[in-house]
Parts: sequence; C-alpha cells; structure tokens
Amino acid sequence: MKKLIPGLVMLLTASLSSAVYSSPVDDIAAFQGFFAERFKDVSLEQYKDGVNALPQYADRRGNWELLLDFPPYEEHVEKGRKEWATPFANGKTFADCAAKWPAATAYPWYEAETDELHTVVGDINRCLEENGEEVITNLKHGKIARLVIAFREQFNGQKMNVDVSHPGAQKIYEKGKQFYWAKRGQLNFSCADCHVHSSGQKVRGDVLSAGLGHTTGFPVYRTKWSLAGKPLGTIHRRYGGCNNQVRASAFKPQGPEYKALELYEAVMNTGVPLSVPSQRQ
Amino acid sequence: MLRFKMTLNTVVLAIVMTVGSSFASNVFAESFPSEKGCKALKNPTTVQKGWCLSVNRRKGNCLACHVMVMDAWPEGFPQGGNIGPPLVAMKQRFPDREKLRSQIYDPTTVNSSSRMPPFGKHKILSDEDIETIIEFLYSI
Repeated sequence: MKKLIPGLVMLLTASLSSAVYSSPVDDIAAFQGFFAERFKDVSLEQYKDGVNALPQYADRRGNWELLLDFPPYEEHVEKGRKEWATPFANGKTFADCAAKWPAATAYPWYEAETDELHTVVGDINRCLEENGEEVITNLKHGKIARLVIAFREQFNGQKMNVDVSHPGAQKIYEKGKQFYWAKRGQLNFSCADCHVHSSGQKVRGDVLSAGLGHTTGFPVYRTKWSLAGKPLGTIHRRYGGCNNQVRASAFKPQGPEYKALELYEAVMNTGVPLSVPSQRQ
Repeated sequence: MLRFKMTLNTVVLAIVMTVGSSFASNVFAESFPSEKGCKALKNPTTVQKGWCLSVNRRKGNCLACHVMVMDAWPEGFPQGGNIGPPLVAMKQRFPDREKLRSQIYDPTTVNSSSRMPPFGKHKILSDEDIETIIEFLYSI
C-alpha cells in the first residue's frame, strides 16, 4: 500500500498536467471558435483587415477604404523595395538570403539544431551580418520595417501556417501563450482582457480590435505614429506600446518575450491571409 | 381681463422657467467641467473633486470603460466606453459603501479575472481619492 501511494500521486499529477496543457491545434480551434461565435458575420479571411473587419467599426470602415485609394504607406513601400534590391558590397542581395528562408506565412520558424526562433527581423539582420554589412540597430521603425514589408508583401494573400510541432517550438509557444493570457502592469490587463474578452467593445471612443488577425498586417503604417514622424512600425514596436499603455515596462524588441508572443499570435492566426503593409489608426 | 391675467402669468412663468433652466445648465457646466476645466476649478466641492478624479485619464479614467448616466452631460464632452456597466443609481446599487470601496480598491477579490484595474491595490488612486470618487458616484 505504501508503494501504491506515490504511484497514485504520480498518476494524478500526470492526468492533471495533461488537463492543464492543450495542444496548439486545440488552442487554434478554441481561439478561432470564440471569434466565430462573437462576430458571426466575419469570416476567418476578413480578420486580415484588423479592427476594420468588425461590425462595431462598420461606420468608420468607409474612411479606411477611402484612405487606401491613395495609401499613405506607398512611398515607404517603394523605398523598401529599392533597399531590398540594392546589392551589398559583395554583390549579393537580400533575395539571395531569402531564397533559403521559409515563406513569410511560416514565420516565426523554429530551428531545432540551434534551438532558436527566427523572426523576419532577425533573419534580415543575420543576412546583413553574413554579407559583411552593418546590422540594423533600430528594430522598431524606419528601415527595418521597410525591409520586413519588402519580404512579407511577396506572400500577400497566402494563409498563415506556422509549424510548432517540435517540442522546442512548443516550449516557446507555451511562453507566448502565458504572456498573452497573464495580467500585467499597473492597470492589470492581459492581452486577452482587451483583445479577446473586450474585442469589439469601446474604450471611450475607440473600438478594441480582435486578437485574431493581429500580426498579419504588420509592419503597419499608423496614423498615430505618423504624427511623430515615424509612421511605420514592426509588431514588436506595437507590443511595446501596448505594454506601456497598461503601465508595464516594455520588453526589448526581438527579445525572447516578444518573440514568443509573436509566435503564439502567429499560430492563432493560422488560416488568415497576409495583408502587408496595413494602415491602422 | 381674467383671461389676460392668466396669459400674463403663463408668459411670466415661461420666462422664469427658461431663465431658470438655462441658469441651471450653466451651473451644471461649471460643476462638471472637462479635464482641462478641472485644473482651473477654484475651491471645488468634494463631488466636483470626485468627478475630476474620475474623468482624469491618469487617475480614475472611469470613462474608458463606463458610461455615466447623469441628469445632464457636459456639452461636447465625449461619452464613455461600454466595457463595464453604466454608472447609474449608484446609491441604490451599492447601499453598502464598503462594497463600492472594495470594488474600486481591488475588484479581483470578487472576480479574479475582472477587467477592472485594482485602483487602490496598485496605487493608481490613493485611499483619499477613492473616498472622494465615492462621494461623486453617490451623487449621480
């Protein structure tokens, strides 16, 4: 009997822990199922439009569409395309590096040999380094955002599909999931508090976007950012802004916290097409 | 003649009511100014202080999530959000002052996943601020 008890305890612990952890596949079904129920008339594909896809934003969608007749980001996109195509000192270009990268829809991707999660920003800097060029240090706006657009826009219309089947990838995924659902900051908000439970509801006059579709339009041109003269921003710039708004200290762009969060959001977006860049308020 | 008197009375009454109501609304606008107007208030009452704390974005910022249902609303002042329930008839809904204080101080004691910030526990508002806001809430 004495030998039995530890065995029973182990069995109980095992069954408990398996109840706590759900697989990414189950998570996607639950996450997307929640939004399918909450916004019945919005299809999975439509979430690429961010907050503009929500019925609560319908009266403002017209303005957004009008703006896109002459997109404010166009000049930046063209500049980025030129930068992408400009050869390095050794004659090679970003395209030579990108030939070895997976599709933008598979980012962030996990490299098992090095136990490393690759983001587009990280791979662009790695490409610069490998070709003897200076890496880009500002990972929030400007040139890095333009280059990420130049890569990601080539896959516009294709659906997100990130592989987290490797245990190493799943470990990072779990960290991102924990980040998303944990409350933080002086205001005590989790990402999910606003973008799942309150999605489509109003904070004063603003409508909160749905968590589904986040990341598929990034880097974005934000009107708010344009007022300060830095209109383009990477997803990690946005994460930092969100954290500051809930009065938490922002983490570093391309640090392990935001990379894990980006992975979790990318997995939740499975099936949502890329639409890069996007304009947001 | 009698008829004329009655008409006169009605006219006088109407004038009095018009003047009175415009006076009342002016008083109201002065009582509950915008965030900027709050800074300019001289010798504010406790209720006014509570209103100012509750609309200030760095303090209560109640309007982020709640609509306040009041007899009149400051002209041109934006309405609140719709994440929390409307703030209306607070005395009837929270006859127990301690319950209201606790809800503002730390709503997670009642609901651990509450989306309302723990204003007291996280020191967003001081104890005194919370008491002042309660005075305002009990006035609407």
